[in-house]
Amino acid sequence: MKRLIAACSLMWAMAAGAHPSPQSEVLLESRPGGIRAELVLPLEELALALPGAAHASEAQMAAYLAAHIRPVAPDGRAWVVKIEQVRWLMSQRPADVVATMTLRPPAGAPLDRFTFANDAISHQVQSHLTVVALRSAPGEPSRVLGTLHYGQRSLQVQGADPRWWSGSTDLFRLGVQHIAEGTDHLLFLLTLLLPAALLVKDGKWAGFGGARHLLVYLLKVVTAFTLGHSVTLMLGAWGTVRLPEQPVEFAIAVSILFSAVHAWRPIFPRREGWIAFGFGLVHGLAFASAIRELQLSGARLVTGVLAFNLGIEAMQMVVILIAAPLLILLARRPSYRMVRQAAALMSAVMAIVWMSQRV
Amino acid sequence: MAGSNSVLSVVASGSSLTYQWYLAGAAISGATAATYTASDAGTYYVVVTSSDGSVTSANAVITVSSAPVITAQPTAATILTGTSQTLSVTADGLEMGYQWYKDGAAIDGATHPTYAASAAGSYTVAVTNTAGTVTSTAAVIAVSSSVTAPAINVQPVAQTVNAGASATLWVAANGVSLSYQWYRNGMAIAGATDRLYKINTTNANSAGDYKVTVTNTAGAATSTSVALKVNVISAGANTPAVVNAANAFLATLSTDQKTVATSATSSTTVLFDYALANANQWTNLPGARHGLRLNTTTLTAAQLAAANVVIAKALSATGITLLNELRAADQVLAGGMAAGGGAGTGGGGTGMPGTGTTPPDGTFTPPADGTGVPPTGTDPGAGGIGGAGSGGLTLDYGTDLYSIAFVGTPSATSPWILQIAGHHLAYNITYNTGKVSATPNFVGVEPPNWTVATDGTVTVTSNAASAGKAHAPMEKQRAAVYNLAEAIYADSSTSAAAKLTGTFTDVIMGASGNSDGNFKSLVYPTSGRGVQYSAMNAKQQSYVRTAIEAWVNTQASDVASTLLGAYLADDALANTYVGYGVGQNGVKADFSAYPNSVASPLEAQHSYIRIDGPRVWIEFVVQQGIVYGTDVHYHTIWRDKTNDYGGSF
Repeated sequence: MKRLIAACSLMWAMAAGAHPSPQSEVLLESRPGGIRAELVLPLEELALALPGAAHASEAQMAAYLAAHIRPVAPDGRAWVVKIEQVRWLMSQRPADVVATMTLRPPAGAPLDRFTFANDAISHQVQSHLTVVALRSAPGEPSRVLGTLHYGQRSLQVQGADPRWWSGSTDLFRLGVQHIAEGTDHLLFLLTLLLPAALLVKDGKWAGFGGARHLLVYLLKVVTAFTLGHSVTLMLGAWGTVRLPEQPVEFAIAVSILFSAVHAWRPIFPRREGWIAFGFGLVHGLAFASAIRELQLSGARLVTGVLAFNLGIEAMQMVVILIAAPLLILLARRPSYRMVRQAAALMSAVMAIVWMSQRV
Repeated sequence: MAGSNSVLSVVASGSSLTYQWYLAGAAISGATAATYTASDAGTYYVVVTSSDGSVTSANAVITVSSAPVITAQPTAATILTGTSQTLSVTADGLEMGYQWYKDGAAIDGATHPTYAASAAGSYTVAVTNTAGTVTSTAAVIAVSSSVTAPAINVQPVAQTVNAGASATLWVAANGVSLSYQWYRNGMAIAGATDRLYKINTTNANSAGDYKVTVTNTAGAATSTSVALKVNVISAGANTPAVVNAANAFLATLSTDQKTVATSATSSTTVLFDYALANANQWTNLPGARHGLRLNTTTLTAAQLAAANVVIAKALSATGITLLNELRAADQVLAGGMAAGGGAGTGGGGTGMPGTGTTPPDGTFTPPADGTGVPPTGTDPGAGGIGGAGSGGLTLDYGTDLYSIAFVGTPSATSPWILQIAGHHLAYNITYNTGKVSATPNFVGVEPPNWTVATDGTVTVTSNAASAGKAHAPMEKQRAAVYNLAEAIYADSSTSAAAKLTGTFTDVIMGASGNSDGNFKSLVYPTSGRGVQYSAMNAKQQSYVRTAIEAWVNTQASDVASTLLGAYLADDALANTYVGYGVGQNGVKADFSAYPNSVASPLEAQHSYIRIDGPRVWIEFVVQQGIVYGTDVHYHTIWRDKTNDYGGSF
């Protein structure tokens, strides 16, 4: 157990080994329909909470632990805790009590999200720390979820479900949310669409090019943008490409400025596809930082990135479905020039404000 | 689970269920049915077990109300015929009702905490709640036609004091049944209702114009308004000096030694980005820290001298002495380990070496004038102690493993943190122009005291007052909490009020493993905090202030005086609590001197005390020794609830 946690966080185990007030360690491991938990309790501290802990019977210790391990479903219902085995490791220093147990959610409650609390020692020993780690399957690397300490005796466990598709709906929603609430992504998209229905003539935006022209433009730009951000999102989520946040945010503001200038007067006519692809690369880096925080791995990472990307696409489609009919209606009128230029100007101002904030 | 009228019940589905009720985490004997009638206050829950396993219910908190306790009695007075005197009572308790009595007869409609008495007689008040009734002492009201309005004979006197000193304003007046109210800048001062008004520790906020009104039922007199001036060392006055010293140190370093680190644990550079992940790199554990080691392997003599100037500018003389003595203690531990000392983390501790190699004694000189004779930290020749690589700590001991780091760029106008850290020591000082934060500040020591004989032999087992050069790095802090704890025990009511539930084997707001990684999730207690300052006697109160000063005064004077001004202000102290946890002896929190000279020093382990104010948080805990396992050792933490790391993160 100690070695497993050490695999991802060497320091915890070392701290535990050297400290006079060693901490408890909990390793949660996903199994179909439940969680297998291994709990290591330093006997010296446990004895302060449960006098006679060194000589208790296995049944006594099991009953004691069952009363102090509390997984709770999001709706407040308690999980079932079954202590499978208790061992006393008396020969090692400091001596430990190691308990293995099965935690099962109540009917209908998710395996993927629950609150885990353990006060086996800390209900008495106020200074006691408990490190909680999770791995999605035997053999997978474990990941430290946090430390239970004074004032915080429980923590949220997410990503405990070993099934590869679990959590995908949450990530789809996150993707939708990212575009819907990400003002800069939204503004970039809308600014890029401003001249979508127009033809270029003598280096200037000319009249309405027809619905077919608009559709081709939309298809080209949206596909290119999607391709671009998918590439960097994948690379970023895997951790292959990792850029500091500030330059990425700045580059996104620059991309909005470019689109605004282009909407005013064509600067890259008929190359919108390539430009959208290039800026897609930049925006994907920003998306990646959102998904990296979730620390997914393996098949879950692949499905997660996919679900997140689909969420982004879905929200983009909503934006386009609203914008396209409007463009068809408005772009025919001579006054659209004024509308387009006013909108381009506003986008440019916003982009410059963001750029100044993100330097 | 439902709780009403203290009958607790649980509904569970399943077959062959068994129940066990718990109070405060302990199984209640015989409470094995689906319902339980609670008679004691506390947190209850029930565990329901079937063949599938166990389910634990949510908590149900039962509070048992107690009879009211009168904290301020009504006072007797002689009043002028035709006037009335407002009698008042203050009581602690839940849902209280009041009834005033005159000469034993209930007064119709007098059912509030105050009553305006106009007739002569003996007045009492009964305070009642569901748990009982308590009756006040009698206040005799006498009525006389000869009562005159007060006249002030001696007016208060204007004063000028240095911040941190006390100031007393007083007045003398003629008249009977006088009451007093002091005002600062026209505002009534809560609780300042005596002939004397004493400010124990003045700060910038204490300055102002003071006056007092003296009142009886025949009239009132107001004193002249007098000014109290407080000389305050301006906060941040010392910052430019520290920044200059830091820049001078940087100027001595190679490019690599001042390249901003890409890893929070880098030990090849002094500079780190101003971010929490870099700021929280401190711990109580032994071993090397991030930043540059303060030794001659890492730094040249010139670089080391420049680093020591930074330290000398940033700390007070006592702060530097503490640093140097803690480094010396760590060298004693290194010697103890080398001499074959075992880790003594087991119950009774293992064999302990009584002697070790010589610590670098005598090489640590605090500046005499506080302006900066830097400590002459020399390399004591420990040789092979290498720096830890990236990642975890190597758990080594020695004076060479202490480091300096700058989190952010030293500047007089933008925030940055000076960190001086090693085993049992973390100074985190954040400079932000006029605002300086000195926390989190971890200080601990093992062994608590030792002596060095003329031949260099180190002895840690005897009383440090015995022959040889004595060392006791944390004596100031230990003595401060010892005095405080003993004064609290001396009075049974404060002793009971200050006792905390649970056991403390370490400080609760310390580092978590290798870093202060829990910083963002620290939760300070809002109840069960111990005894309140206002409920202490004058001696206990003065020990609280002295204890706070024992930690804060390790900092440069501008920093210390500003922080003490905040921590020791009247309104801050009024909301400051002291709580303790008993040691292994089960009797009291034992911080007595040199416990290693008594038969069983480990009886003192788990002794714990803390000072818990609106901002200041100081904990002191006694632990078993690690290298010297039959001895104790100390851990302490000082935090500022609103201003750790300058309040930046």
